Amino acid sequence: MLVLACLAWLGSQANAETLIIVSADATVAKASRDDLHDLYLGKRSTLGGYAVSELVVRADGDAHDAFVKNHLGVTASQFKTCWKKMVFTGQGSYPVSCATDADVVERIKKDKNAIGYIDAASPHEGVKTVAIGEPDGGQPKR
Amino acid sequence: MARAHGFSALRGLVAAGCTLAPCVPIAAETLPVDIHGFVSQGYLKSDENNYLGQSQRGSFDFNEAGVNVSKNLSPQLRVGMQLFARDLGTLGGDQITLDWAYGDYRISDSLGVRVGRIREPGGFYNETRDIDLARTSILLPQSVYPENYRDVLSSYNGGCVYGDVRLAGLGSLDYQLFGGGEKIGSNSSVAQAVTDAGALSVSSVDVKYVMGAGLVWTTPLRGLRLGATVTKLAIDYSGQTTAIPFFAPSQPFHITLDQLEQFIVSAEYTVGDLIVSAEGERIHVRGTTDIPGQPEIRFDSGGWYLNADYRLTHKLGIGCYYSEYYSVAPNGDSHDPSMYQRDLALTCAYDITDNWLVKVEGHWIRGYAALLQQENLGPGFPFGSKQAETDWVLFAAKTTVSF
Repeated sequence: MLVLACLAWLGSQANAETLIIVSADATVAKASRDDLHDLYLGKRSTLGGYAVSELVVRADGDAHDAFVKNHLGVTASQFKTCWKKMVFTGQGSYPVSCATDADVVERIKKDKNAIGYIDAASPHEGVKTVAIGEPDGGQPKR
Repeated sequence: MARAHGFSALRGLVAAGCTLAPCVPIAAETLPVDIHGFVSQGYLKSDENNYLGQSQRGSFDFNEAGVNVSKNLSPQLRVGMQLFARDLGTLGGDQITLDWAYGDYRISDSLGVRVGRIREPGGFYNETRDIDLARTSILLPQSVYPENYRDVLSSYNGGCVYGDVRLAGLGSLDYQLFGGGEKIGSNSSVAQAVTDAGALSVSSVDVKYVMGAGLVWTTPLRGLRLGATVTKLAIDYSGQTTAIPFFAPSQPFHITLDQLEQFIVSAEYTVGDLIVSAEGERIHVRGTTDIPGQPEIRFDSGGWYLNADYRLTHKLGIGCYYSEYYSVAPNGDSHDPSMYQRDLALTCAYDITDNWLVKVEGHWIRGYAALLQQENLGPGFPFGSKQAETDWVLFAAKTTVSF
């Protein structure tokens, strides 16, 4: 039974997929992994040419850790430190933290310049998903 | 008296921070601006030599506090400001200063403009040097981030253009071109460095101009970034020489450092929870003075360090660096311990919560090139009656709360 439970858990982790979501009015449909990396670490403020002024993240936890590791190539601690540097030098505002995927979706619906991420299995009516591709293949470079 | 005002001002800042902290989650939702801040308190103790304060007897004159407000007026336009106060030995005196206050208009990702009072680039960490939260170590390596130049190399009044340019398969290049100037108080580190050099009392320090460029290349090799910064400035000092009874009356003096150049090269490699960084710096100072009998001012110094930080757990980080600073004087003896300072540092940092951290740090130091004479009593120090110790140990502890 324990083995089956472990296999089921591993299966759920393997299938865990993240969706990048923006407002239904946003004109962006596709972006590169480098765009996503640079946007979430404050280097850039556009995604595929679309202006983004609010980043939405899941409050600290497994979902956030997995997103920053798999999509941005940094640890949660490095992500936090990066934004402390941005905030205390005046170069940016902390991303908005939401407790659940439903909260992320609601936040995105309210702000046409916001971007967030949710589990692919979570309901996301009323928002638009952004396909993340890698023009030159592979992982993000940074 | 000024110091007393400084302390009461700092207490007000701390009280405001502590009062605001629990309200921020609500405030962030309801206020039209973002408000954030931090308060740090540290302690320094050395077995020999006073460094960055009266460290031999143990010094709590080691604190910082900052409060900032900012607002995105549009996706392209951002405005904000930060008030900052610090005390480090004889420096700062907890006087509240305007740390930064600027408008930032981002035309595109590759071109933005900032105008106002702006943090100055310099290596990878100068812009964040006062932010204890942003690093593992308590003291940045003094070979590249010396406290004696902090006031002229931390912020400036002026403008900059900046941006991030993609290099088609070769990573990206962050650039910043900046220029401006500022007036600095007589309680500044650069004023005290001049006071330290002779019987002088500095009344004003005028940075006539500062300009420079900073480049950071994020390479195609994941985790590796390289950087270079060039800064050039000119500084005017004025004040009074100290009177020597029956021999020389006090008289006005003027020092012009018309060529102060700083060059920094930087490298940082991040792999998982490990960050390895190294930087090297060189400073050239040339100038003139109207003080009788003084030669042309000519001073060079340099330094480098190698640092490694490792995050053991979500809450616990450790760090280690070796740093070497040296003065380069004409006919200087490189074996003279007053000409160099080598520092091996070990740090442990623990996040009690997301907004409260504590750190402890040990420094094993050889040489004393960066000591201030006024913190180490004795005529002619370190060549007079009280000799500095070549080998010494410095212990530091610090805690920071942020909101």
